[in-house]
Amino acid sequence: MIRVLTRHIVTPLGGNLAANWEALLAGQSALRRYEGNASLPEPYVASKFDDRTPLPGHTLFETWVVRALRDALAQTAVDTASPRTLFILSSTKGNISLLETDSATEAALLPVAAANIARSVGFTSEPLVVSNACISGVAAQVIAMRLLQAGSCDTAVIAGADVQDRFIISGFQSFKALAPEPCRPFDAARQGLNAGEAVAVMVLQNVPDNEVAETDWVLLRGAVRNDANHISGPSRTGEGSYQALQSILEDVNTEALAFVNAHGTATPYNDEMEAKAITRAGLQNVPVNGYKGYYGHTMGAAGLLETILSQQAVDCHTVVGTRGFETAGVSLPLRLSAAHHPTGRQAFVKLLSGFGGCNAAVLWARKGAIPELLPRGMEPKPGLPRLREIATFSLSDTSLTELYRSCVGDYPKFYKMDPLCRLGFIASELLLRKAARSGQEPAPAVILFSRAGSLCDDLRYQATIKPDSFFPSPAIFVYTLPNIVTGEICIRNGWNTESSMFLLPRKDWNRMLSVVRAAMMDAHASRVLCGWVDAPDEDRFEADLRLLQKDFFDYTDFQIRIHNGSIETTAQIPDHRGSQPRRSQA
Amino acid sequence: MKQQLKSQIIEALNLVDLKPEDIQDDAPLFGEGLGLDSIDALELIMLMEKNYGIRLSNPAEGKAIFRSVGVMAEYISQNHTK
Repeated sequence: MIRVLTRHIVTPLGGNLAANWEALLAGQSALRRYEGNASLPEPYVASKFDDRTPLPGHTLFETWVVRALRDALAQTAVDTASPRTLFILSSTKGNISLLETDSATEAALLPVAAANIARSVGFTSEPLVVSNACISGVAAQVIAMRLLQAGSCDTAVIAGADVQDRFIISGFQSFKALAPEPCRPFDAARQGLNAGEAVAVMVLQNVPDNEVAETDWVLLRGAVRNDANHISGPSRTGEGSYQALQSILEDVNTEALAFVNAHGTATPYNDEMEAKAITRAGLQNVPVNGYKGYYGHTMGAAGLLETILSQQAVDCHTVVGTRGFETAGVSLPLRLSAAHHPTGRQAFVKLLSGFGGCNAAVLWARKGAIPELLPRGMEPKPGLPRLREIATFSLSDTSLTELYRSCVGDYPKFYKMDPLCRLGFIASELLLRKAARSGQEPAPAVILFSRAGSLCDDLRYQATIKPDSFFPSPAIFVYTLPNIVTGEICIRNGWNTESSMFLLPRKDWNRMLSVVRAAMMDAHASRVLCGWVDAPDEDRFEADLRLLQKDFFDYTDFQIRIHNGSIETTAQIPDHRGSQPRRSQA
Repeated sequence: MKQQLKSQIIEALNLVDLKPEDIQDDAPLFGEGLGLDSIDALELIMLMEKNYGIRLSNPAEGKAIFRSVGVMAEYISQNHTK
């Protein structure tokens, strides 16, 4: 079973879980109004830390994460130096404020921040960064669960955080997504979200069932699904969120659920979308709540913070009230309440959705509640699938616009994309063309890896928020999330499958395939479009993609080949054990 | 003015395959017209602020103003501050 070993949160409401819980029960909110700030002309409401002093040798972002990790791990016997301990960092923008000084582009990259944090805390294995927009904190739980189940690590230490400064706040202002008041999730008068700062840490281990106590928290299931609809607007039918819910709710007795902790950002579209997804999934009789009225939207921390608070709430037999909610403002009836309520149930569902059309859902229960929650028993432990290669495609340093004109030509949205999306889009189009499809194949999951992520676009956006020329561009801001490229590919192809973006310090197929194989333990994923997309600047980039399929034959691992430069395809037929790949040059 | 506005729209929204003369003065910008979406609408709000000093605090106002280049040019000529 995947069990929580320890958990820790630090927010403007309190330095640990107990202090936060006390504040929450008292109905306190960390949301404050900020104005008169030279670098952000418009006032805004947010939940921010007062102490903004970094540790020597660290940025503010790294400082918060290092401190929270040290505090969390101090209570445990976790061996940070063990190669079997994996550090997973969940963040949308990490050290982005470093871009305000011209020379700091390298230090602004999330894999660099993760390495700095790992060094200070004493982790020796290479960190994994989940940068899947607002779902990162739940997506990180899902990948940790799978990597633990796959035996890739013994302990997963997940930390989530974001610093709310000029870059993110101005971007959401340009999207007209920020409320001028403390946000009001699911309310008829809701006007948008508030940004929030928090750090959250969760340590997970895979432990034999008989060693898990009845009161321990167990991560039972998780799913990530794409809307395949729009890169910023949620699906009007809640498609991706519904499909993620459907995946985690199979054979679940919903009467055993204490609540659904929604994303509940308080934007008009998000909350309406969630109401549809929750209702479509058959959860209309389960209480629904959201914590953004206490903490704002804490971005990379949100999934972890809100999951940990939900566990605490169940431990204290409470359904936390949705602060800011008064009158229902969604088109379907949900069991919402501003007041706290008692509950005797010991399981919950956590939902998140984000830019790029991504949605995530996890199912958590205390071990003692599992028989009631899953009356037909837990599914057998999923096996790690073997993968068969359908096609590969690689591409570097060529004119993407020329390639688009000569090979695609019918998708004008291409011109709106940032370099990372253009690269991923073109490479995926040409990869799929090489795969010689019949049209009947199942839609693949899209799991991509990068180092520079959205750096090109981050710099373009930074140029629109100069102090002397402050015109933040929403069309540029949206691409500052590295996972948008996975959303563009899902939208183009109409795929409601998993879409995930991970950041690594370098292209390493062994590392990427360990994550991909673990992700393919999701029964829904029988194919995956995966690989490396990296565009550190507009003229220097590399894509190296593979289309892989679960191999149902007994078959040895295929050989990893590194491709450079031009177009190359490889077909491999799983006819007998140990068959050699058959290669054809394009 | 309309000509200049069309060029600015094409540039701001990366409508690479379009020329100013391809956009009719009274053709709808959204929906069936140029196929623009919600992010384009937000970008047009920023275009008006940057080039003409017009601030729309309520994005919903944009819906009527961005009906066509003609309507948008009319609104700008009455409200511009630079």
